Amino acid sequence: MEKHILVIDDEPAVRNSFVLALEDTEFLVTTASSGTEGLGKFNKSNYHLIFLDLKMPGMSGIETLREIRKKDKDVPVYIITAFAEEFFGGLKGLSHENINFELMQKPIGMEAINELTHALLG
Amino acid sequence: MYLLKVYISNLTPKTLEKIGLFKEMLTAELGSGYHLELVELLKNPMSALNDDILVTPTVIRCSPKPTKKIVGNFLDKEQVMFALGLINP
Repeated sequence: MEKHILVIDDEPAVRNSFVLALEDTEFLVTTASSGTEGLGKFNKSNYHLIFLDLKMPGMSGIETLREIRKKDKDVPVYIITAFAEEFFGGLKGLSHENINFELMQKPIGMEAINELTHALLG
Repeated sequence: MYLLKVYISNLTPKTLEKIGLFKEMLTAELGSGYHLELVELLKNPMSALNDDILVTPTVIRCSPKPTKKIVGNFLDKEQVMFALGLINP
């Protein structure tokens, strides 16, 4: 069965990085440009892996993840963010709620996307 | 003695369970020939710079040199042993 990946990020360049990194692979990539759009797509299909931007206009990555976890506690979700103290405050709140997530550092390289996705789903 | 460092995002019951399984796997393969350090990235964001961490989880073999890494899945025994160059004593 084809593994389905959802990328939620308001930056077109980031979404394109995932599409380009994973084209010609066995993975199917769906993109969304906001948390609201991403949740809509999440609720309509089954995904094996989700990449989610932390800082987005409108619904933030943290709010989006809370909604995702109401439906699915197990799908791996990677929060895309800079690794710096000022970005981690909201994530610590999620941690205290025992909400599971992983971290992926911005800026994102296509090699890192490819290596991680194959390690998780390959 | 292998010095291994595991970078995780945060400590949750699920993460602790995975770390426990990882330790069981290492002990079965290496006996007491390893030391494992756990780094919680949310509490130590600057530590990622020192080890060039891009994603969690990442496991690093810090010593003996050369440094080796594996990302994403650290519970596949064969992949871990190969990627980190761990050899049974």
